[in-house]
Amino acid sequence: MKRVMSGNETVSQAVKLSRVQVISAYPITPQTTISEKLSEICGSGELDAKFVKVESEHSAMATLIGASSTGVRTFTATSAQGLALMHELLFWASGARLPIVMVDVNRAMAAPWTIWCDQTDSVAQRDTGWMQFYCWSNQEILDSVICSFKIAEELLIPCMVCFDGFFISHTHEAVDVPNQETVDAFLPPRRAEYKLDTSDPHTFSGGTMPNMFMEFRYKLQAAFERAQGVIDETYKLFEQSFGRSYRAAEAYFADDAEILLLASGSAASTVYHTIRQMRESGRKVGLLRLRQLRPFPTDTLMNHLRDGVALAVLDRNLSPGTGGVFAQEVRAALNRCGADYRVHEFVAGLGGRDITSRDVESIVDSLKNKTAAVGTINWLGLHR
Amino acid sequence: MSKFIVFNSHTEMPELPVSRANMAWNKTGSWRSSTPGHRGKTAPCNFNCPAGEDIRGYLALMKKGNVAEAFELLTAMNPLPAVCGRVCYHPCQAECNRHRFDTELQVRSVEQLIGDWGIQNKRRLSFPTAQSKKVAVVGAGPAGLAAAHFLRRKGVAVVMYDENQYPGGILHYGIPAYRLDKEVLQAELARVIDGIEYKANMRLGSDFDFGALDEFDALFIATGAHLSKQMRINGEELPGVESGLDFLKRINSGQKVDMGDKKVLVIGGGNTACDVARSAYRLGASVTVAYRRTENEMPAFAEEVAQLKAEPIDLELLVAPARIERDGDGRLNVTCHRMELGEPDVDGRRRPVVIDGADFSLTADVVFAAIGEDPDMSLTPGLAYASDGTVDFSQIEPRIRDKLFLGGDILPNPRTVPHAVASGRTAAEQIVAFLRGEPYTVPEKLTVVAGPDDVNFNYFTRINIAKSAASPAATGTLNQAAAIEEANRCLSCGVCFECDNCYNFCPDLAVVRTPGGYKANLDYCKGCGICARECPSGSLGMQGGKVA
Amino acid sequence: MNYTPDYDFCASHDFCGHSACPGCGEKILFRHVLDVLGPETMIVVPAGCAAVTDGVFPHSLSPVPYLHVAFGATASAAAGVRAGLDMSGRENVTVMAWAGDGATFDIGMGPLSAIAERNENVLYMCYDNEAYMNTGMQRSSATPLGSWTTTTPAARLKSEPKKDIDAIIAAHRAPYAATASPAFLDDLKAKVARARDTQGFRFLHLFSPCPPGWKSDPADSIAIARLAVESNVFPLYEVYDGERVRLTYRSSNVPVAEYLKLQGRFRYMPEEEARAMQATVDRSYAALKQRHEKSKMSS
Repeated sequence: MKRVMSGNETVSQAVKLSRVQVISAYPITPQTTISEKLSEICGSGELDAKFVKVESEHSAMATLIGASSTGVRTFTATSAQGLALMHELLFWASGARLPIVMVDVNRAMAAPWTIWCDQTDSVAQRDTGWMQFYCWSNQEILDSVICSFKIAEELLIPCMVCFDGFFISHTHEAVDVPNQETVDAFLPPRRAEYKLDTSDPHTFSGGTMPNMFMEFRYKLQAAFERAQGVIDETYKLFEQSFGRSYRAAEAYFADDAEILLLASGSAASTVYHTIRQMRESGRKVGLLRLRQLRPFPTDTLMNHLRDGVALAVLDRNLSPGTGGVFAQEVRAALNRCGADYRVHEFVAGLGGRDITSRDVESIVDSLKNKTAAVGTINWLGLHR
Repeated sequence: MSKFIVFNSHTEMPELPVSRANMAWNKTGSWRSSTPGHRGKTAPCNFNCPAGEDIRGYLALMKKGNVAEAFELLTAMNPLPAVCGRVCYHPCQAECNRHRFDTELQVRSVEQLIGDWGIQNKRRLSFPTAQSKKVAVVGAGPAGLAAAHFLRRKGVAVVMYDENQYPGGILHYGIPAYRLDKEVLQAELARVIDGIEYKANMRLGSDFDFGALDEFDALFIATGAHLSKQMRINGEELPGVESGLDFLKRINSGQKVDMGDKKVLVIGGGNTACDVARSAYRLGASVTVAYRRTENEMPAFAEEVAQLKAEPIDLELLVAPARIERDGDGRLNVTCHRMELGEPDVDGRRRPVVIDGADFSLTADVVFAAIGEDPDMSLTPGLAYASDGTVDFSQIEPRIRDKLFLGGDILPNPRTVPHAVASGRTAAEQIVAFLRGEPYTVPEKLTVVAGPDDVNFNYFTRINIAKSAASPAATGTLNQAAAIEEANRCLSCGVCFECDNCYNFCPDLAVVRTPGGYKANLDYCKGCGICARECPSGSLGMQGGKVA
Repeated sequence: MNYTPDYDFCASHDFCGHSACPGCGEKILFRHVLDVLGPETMIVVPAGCAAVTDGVFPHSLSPVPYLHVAFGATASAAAGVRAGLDMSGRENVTVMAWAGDGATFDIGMGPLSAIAERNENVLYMCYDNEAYMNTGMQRSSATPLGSWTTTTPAARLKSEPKKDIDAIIAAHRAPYAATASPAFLDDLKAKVARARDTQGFRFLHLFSPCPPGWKSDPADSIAIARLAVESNVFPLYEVYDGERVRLTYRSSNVPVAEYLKLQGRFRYMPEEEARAMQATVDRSYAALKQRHEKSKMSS
């Protein structure tokens, strides 16, 4: 059934359809309407779940760690400062192999204060052992959240679904909302092999000596290494049930592209629209939309690289001292594969500044004209 | 579950850090530098009881109301609880660790209840069938009675001889009825010498001699000390000057003695002097007691002196008789010295010294000498005393000497009922060994006493017994409920009473319950010492080093 | 749930072999608390002495499900366990938080206040050894005035009084809150039972002697725990709904000096401060007795 909903409201629908049992969230702009909507549907009984109204995001994640340890399905949502406040517990959730799903409504990190969009908040958490998905439409949000539960519970890796604050969270789009039965068939109740159970008492996450700790990290890494297979299998099943298909990265006009732009989130849709127009005027430009940061879609990336293609990575985030994070990840993936491509790094849109078609054109032009710097950041839209 | 687990491969490990095994492999006993254990200290009451009663033991049984078991335990060492519960000088109470906390346990009162219970419930001891060996016991005082009783319990046939009509010796003929009721005494003795032949009015040395005892395999002589010491003053032989002991014997034999309106002077400061004075007072006399030292040196039990002073009896201290004369009215005129205390005597008491020129007169109708007793050697021809007070057997025929045992006041023992009982019981054990041809081994005795510092008084509540039946000031006897209540004040010094403190307070659950106590689980005990510190009775202590 | 006294739950589950210090107060408390709560219990434990002495993977001394969590996360994680259990039909399982003073008074204070305010159905127990003992005896807000710790050395002893956690909890109107001491086991166990059988947020403040941190003889741990109560430094009482106070033990008003002298951590306290401490304790205890009287509850 199609409904016109904002990005945030879509999240609530996805959580409801996924039959989440415990939610714990703390309001933060631009996530707040997720909290409010979830409170409403939990309060009305539309969703049979406990919404624990905690006093901070750190407590929200702590609450979910507790709840998830009992074997129930759990969810939270946050942004920026809230996500950062959870930081130590993000490591905890992944180390404890808890399949928690979280939505991060991307917002720039203070200081200075801001409520507007950039991806620095989620990319800064890429080392915490969570899977990360990036959405560009409300439909994708709905589908990604539902899939995340299935993927997370299979791999025992927590998962965050990210989308741009305001640009997507507060934008209404038509979303095809599936019925509960179909979702139930696709996503059965969680079956936790390890959980707090008085009939089979155990201790979880006890002190682990140097001679055994590394093996747990090895296991988590091994799970990440087989994650893409599980993700792809899940998308296949999803397509069968719901008719929509997804890949780790989506390629648009990429097959014969001489210039390939790599982007994520709402910026990717600006890129898409811009290069579609460019294609009409014959320019061979393509887009590879990165939907995953963890696990990084290395294979998909490699499959779409032609010899000689010029690569530009558009980051709406910054790791100060180095540059955009997607760019670094792309460079690392290429190096791993022994592939030799020059990567041009572009940073734009920090703190909610609009990324326009003109910005995209300037990227393409700078690559064509070879005026784009390599090895340093190309700042777009900066007031010099 | 108690192995230390090592994973050889990550494939053996669970996907996430879940612990399923316990910590029992970690033998923290290796941390220990001292180990708790029961110290084997004894309670001061037990240690100080001359009769060797397990007082702590029978008080523990009384706590739960097990009077029958308490009776069995008590009489295993002392067959005379009803007697001792009335007349013993209770050294147990003086040493009771509760003394400074609130009031010492009124052990004697509880003992009396137990003794009376035995009489009321007509307890009979089942003696084994008498064996072929026979022992003669001469003297049916507390030593003889105890010896006869314990010999009989061991299956030895016993015949008792005594110069008096009734058994009991000093219990019947020395201690007045107001201190020890004759009916109670005889009821207890009936149990004690049940099945033992008692030959009354048989005085050794006059009615029979050692030769008549040839049929016996062993002889136990406990004829006591009933000969009054001489005062060695002029006028001692005058009519009206008598032995205090003889006076007591007359009234305890049921004779009517007229003391009405008489003035009585008692010379002496021991229990006999007190008994004489108080008996005379009860017969109507007005009584003065004269003692040559101060109250501090009086050999009588403190309790006796206090009771004497509570009655209208004059106590003249630092007074000694010089000579006795008959005055013009036919009464006795006793010239007395005033004394002062000089240097200490051999026994540590300060020697009384006459103050020159301070003599004075006391008039009396009767003068009782009660300055001490000696054994009457005419009862035991052939026995003599050496100068150091030990017995000289050399003049006894070997065939008698080889089977001859002595006990009670005839020996230089302290002259108390519990000492006599112990003497008789020990003699019985020695005789049994002798009859079996075995060496006699002195039973082991715990020698380390649990003192007040061993007790953890935090676990006991101060109780004021001033208003209860058990109060030292109360007259009358305890009923069973009161005795049980009093027994419940016992601290069980040095002995575990299974309160579970050590078990409960161990942070390592390394205290294990065993029958009658606890032990440390040496695999895990870290030696922290909490168990020993919180042991209420001081039973647990820490010993240095690891105990294997 | 029936309270079965003397239910030797821990004794039947190989509680031995843990690496707590000799004389550790926390372990004495823990075993008796668990004996009352029994097997239908789950414990949430933050960093601290309890967590570290629980054991090393794959070993643990706990006979019940035991969830380690990050230092400041205890209260929230406990609320989460509660939510998860309630959503999976296990409402009868007791959720217990077992946290030290560090995790309770300091880093976890915010979340603790939050679950108290929300009246979460959690039994929160704080074993208070009055400093960050696990990390090497550094001061916490639970450290008493004048105490030595590694961060309040002799030259600069703790100059602030102990945070009054019981008043803070009372201000949250917890249905049931109480103090307890391992030297008074019957009182402790009765309170654990009452807490277990009460719905909503419950808080137990447990006095937990620490020989290395308090510089005391391990053998004295119970004696110190007793003196703390008898000297009114740590009175035993209950608070119902943040208002009604009930003293559960009438102390014998032992001088505070008796309590102090068994502990080396108070050795550096100047004379006048020790005297002032007596006055403070007297005042507090008098106020407590007044609250008890006002509450008109019989002991």
